[in-house]
Amino acid sequence: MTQENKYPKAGPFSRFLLGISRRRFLRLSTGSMAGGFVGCLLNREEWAAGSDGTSPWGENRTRLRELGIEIGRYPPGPYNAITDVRGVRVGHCTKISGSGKLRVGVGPVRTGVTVIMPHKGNVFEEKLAVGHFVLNGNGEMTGFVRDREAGTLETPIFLTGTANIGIVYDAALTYLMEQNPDIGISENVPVPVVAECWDAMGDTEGRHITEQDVLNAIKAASGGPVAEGAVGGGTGMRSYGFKAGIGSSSRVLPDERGGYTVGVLVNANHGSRHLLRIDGVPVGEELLDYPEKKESGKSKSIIMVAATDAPMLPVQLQRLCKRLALGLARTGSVSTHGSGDIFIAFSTGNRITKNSKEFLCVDDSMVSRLWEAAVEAAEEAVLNALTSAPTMDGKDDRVCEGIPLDRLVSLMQKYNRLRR
Amino acid sequence: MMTSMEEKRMDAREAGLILGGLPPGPLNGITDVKGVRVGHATLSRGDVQTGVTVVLPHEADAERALWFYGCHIFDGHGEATGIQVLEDFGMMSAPVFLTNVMAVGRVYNGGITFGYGRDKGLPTDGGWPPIVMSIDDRYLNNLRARAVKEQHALEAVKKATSGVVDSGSVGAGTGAVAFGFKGGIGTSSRRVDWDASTTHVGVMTLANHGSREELVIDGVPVGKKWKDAASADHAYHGVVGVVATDVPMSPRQLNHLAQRAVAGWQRIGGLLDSITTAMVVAFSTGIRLESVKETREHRLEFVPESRISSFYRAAAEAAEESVINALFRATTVKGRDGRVAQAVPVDTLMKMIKTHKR
Repeated sequence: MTQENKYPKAGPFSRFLLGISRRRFLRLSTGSMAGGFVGCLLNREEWAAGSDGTSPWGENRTRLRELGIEIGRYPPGPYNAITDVRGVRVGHCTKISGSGKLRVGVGPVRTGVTVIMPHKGNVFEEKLAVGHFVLNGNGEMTGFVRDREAGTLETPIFLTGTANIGIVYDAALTYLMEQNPDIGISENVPVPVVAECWDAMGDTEGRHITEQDVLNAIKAASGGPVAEGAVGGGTGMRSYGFKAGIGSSSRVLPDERGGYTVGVLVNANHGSRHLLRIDGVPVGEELLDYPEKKESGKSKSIIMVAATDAPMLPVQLQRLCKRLALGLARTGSVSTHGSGDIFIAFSTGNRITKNSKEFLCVDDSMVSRLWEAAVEAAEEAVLNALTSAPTMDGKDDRVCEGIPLDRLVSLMQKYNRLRR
Repeated sequence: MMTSMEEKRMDAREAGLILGGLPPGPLNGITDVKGVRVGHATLSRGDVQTGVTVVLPHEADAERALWFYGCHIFDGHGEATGIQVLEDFGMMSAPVFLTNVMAVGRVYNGGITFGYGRDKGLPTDGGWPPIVMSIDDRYLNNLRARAVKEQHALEAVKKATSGVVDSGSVGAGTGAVAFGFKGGIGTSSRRVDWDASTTHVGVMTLANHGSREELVIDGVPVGKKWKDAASADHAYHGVVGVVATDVPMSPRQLNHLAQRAVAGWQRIGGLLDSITTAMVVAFSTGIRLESVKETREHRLEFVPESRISSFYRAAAEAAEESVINALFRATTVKGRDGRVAQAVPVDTLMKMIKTHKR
């Protein structure tokens, strides 16, 4: 399909896009979005990137490692994603349609929902230990009060745009009620975890997410590779002055350190261009000349979700959550006033029921390596969101550029940070 | 069983029950705090006994202004949205919605619609994020019917007024059950004179907690003595409250004010179950922060710590009285599966208290 077929209004930036879309990068191949792209395609105007990593905008996007940039010292799991933690599944529903001038209730639509299913069973019946950290509170994560009180996670975790919170929350209840017919009768009513970032690239007020979209995201949830960038809850997100959204990464500790896996998934919508650092390189400063259109709506945020198979207490998971902030900081974030930087971490190492009397947890002598793994995975997840997300236009024809991968590679080479 | 028409309902004070030592404000309600408005949307038909109540902390034209908020989560087994901004910033302009635990998403969505009506750049102001606190009213209400819709949140906002607050079996209190009696919305206030000005602390409580035998009123263990009425005891306890004051208070002081409201509730009892909801949001209208670009610094005046105790006492007294008012105002409600929660027979109860005191 040509770009024009996929996207009705390429606009004046098409020349630029086509310019870079023909470039090949180190090992840039079809692997970047091997997980495919799960969208809810409701009409001809809505489409999704193909599983070959080609975006509808004609760009090839890829993951950080495919560019030869490697973060930290621990190896990633087979998918280098949160799904490397056994049982964790991710699903997206992506809503993209229209372009041009903002018309409330019509479009352009740049939004979606991403769901993280914490284990393969019924998480309401078999809860998981959970911890949180609020680095900067200008955001929303529902279920926080209940989960913090109980120390358990009892629902999937949903990521979406700010205005969609109520709709996604309500749809999550529909799913949970279907799965658990006793809810509201003999069972308590769960409090779903729904976290937001401000996807101001599209018509937020129109709230284009429906209950069915949320249920579709749940249905689409799978293990294996995770689609990243402008997908699901990350569809309308920007970070460091570039297009961003969903990113994921993982680390596996060596057997003598427990062999545990730590996986991170982020919805990145934070930071200004000049702040961006990749593996210590001041990439943002070097790319200040690269076109950046100012978008309205200053409030930016990042939601970070960590999963681990290391059995951990809620207090230990709280400590792990703080390390996500350190991984975020390595990418340059200063967690600005308007940012809702809210983190959640869960462990699949214990399934907790009402009558649970036993709990397995790692010795604190083990946790420092887990922290290191978490920091590495958090950093790389944010960067995967950037390198995977293609240039996209938003409301009022404002264009948000994807980070230029060719320039990124030469920069990393210049600073001697290319691994191969 | 009396019908609701025959039940004589009144506030604790009208019944002769005077709690605490500080005087109430003219309305003896949260609306004694200037600018505060309360609105209800009541759903009462058959097995649907629920609703939405909103507390609007300030006049609707107050765009780009922030107020100080605080909270106390005594037991967080429930939902309170907006909590990250509240706890981390301590300043916001959010409306406070109360509803049933199944309706949080829809009421939140109503809060978003309300926010867009105030400010198109929602997260820059617009009262975002809305605070939605929940209780479980399933004893009388068919939760799975999910009767509350977004429009009911907007209806509550539209109906919000200053002046006398409707209380008892209204709004989010429609299906509430407390101490085996019909519970619901109750409110009370205290006047505190401070530096030649008259200030108020007002509390609104949604009482849906406590077993019959736990009920203590004015130090009298009336619940234990109660023999002759059917008890609507249930296991889904939850109580949520809103404290408002026009006294200039910092977020930290407001956290303390919210704590004292729970201390007031505790005088009545009913907060000891393992999975319960007990949380309070407090805000002050005494300091209005104009959030405009040119502002570099704010000069703030707070109540000094040396003078704060009487306000804390006021919060505890008003919180205690608001629960009693909820009980004394609530009318008998018949809900799902023929279940009934009886209104407290005020006369009988007052006789018991007087006899005990003698």
